[in-house]
Parts: sequence; C-alpha cells; structure tokens
Amino acid sequence: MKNLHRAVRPGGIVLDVHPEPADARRILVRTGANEADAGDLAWTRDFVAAIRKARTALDDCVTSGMFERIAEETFLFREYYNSEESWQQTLDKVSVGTFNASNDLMARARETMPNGRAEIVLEEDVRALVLRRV
Amino acid sequence: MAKIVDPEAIETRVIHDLVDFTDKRVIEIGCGDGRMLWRYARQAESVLGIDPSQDFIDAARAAAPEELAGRVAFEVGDAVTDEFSGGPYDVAVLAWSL
Repeated sequence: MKNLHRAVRPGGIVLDVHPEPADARRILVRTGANEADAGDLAWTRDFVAAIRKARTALDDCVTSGMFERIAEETFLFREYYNSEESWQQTLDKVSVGTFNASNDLMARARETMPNGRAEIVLEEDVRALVLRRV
Repeated sequence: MAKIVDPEAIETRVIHDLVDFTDKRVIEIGCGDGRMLWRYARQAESVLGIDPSQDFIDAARAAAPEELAGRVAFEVGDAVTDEFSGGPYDVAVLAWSL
C-alpha cells in the first residue's frame, strides 16, 4: 500500500473494484426471457481470504490517514456463457472452488446452448470504492 | 459468441459515475488482459497497465486499439515489490486484480 500511496499524487484517486467477499457466485440458466436459479459457484477459501485481506489493507490506509474514503457503490456484475467450452474454461480457473448446481437445469442448458436457446449466467455483487490520497 | 462480460455495461457506468477519467494520467495495477482498462482509456490522457503475468501483458498489447497507440502502455510488474514508473499518477485503478 505504500507503493500505491507513492504512485498517486496528493489529491489523486484510487478506484478499487472487486467482488464482495461472499462465498459464492449465483448461477442462473437463461432461456429466452426466463431465468432460473440453478445454484452457485463457490470461490475457493483462499480467494475469499485474499479479498478480505485486501479490503482490510485499504481500510488500514484510511485509518492511518494516507487516504480518505470518497464514494462507494455496489453493483450487479454478470457474465453470460453460451458455449460449453467457455463455461468449462471458467470452471477450470484456479479461483473457482466448489460447484453446486441443479444437475437438471445445467444439463438442459448444455443441451440447448449449441442451438442458441439457453445461456448460463454467472452473477455476483461487486463493490467499487473510491479513495483520495491525502 | 461464447462468453460475454457485463453486456449491460453496468460496470462501465459505475466507474464513470464515480471517477472522472478525462485527461487524467492513470495507472492500472493488476490490469490482466486489459478488459477493464478499455472501459476508460479513451477518456484518459494516458494509461499504464501493470501485471505480473507476461501472458496477460502480451494479450493486452495485442488487444490494444490502434487509436490508443501512444497513449496506452503495458509493463510486466509486481505491485508489491516494484516501484511504478512514470508517476505520480492522477488515478490508480485496482480492479479484479486478486
């Protein structure tokens, strides 16, 4: 964080955008205009711990007087997958942990994705935080 | 079409609501393949993207639009151990960098 402090001029801004440190992302199966809750995709414990640690470090920057908190907004972040390959690539990423989903819904999504009729949607809450260097 | 990230552009709206990038000198620490960086680079005076992964930096350079040549640069670097070149900056972005 000292590196970050040096990198920004006095009065300059830090924008931090990271997922809320919840344990999981929501999985939806979307067919046309309809969306069905299909389960969740859990982050690894290490990833959740890393997010919490980074947040604590930012909070410490404010507490120590290096930065002041200016604004914050939480928003819904979505990724859409309409191919089996792209979905599998996400499941293979190191930051993805346990996968808990409705087998029926996921099977239906996999069957219909090649026909362009269904998508798998990953949804999560993300926080954007703005700090100003003191 | 295989994977589409934030097609509603909610993230883009939020970051522009919160930060004015116009004519700012920006550093993005942990820029990855540049996905987020392209959402504000056109407004900035200049952007330096830093990431520890050479593969990500190569991907970001390959994806750079021609009209941003000369205004956007990428370097391999570690946010914890390396000093950032070219600073101090008006804005530092830490996005999806864990």
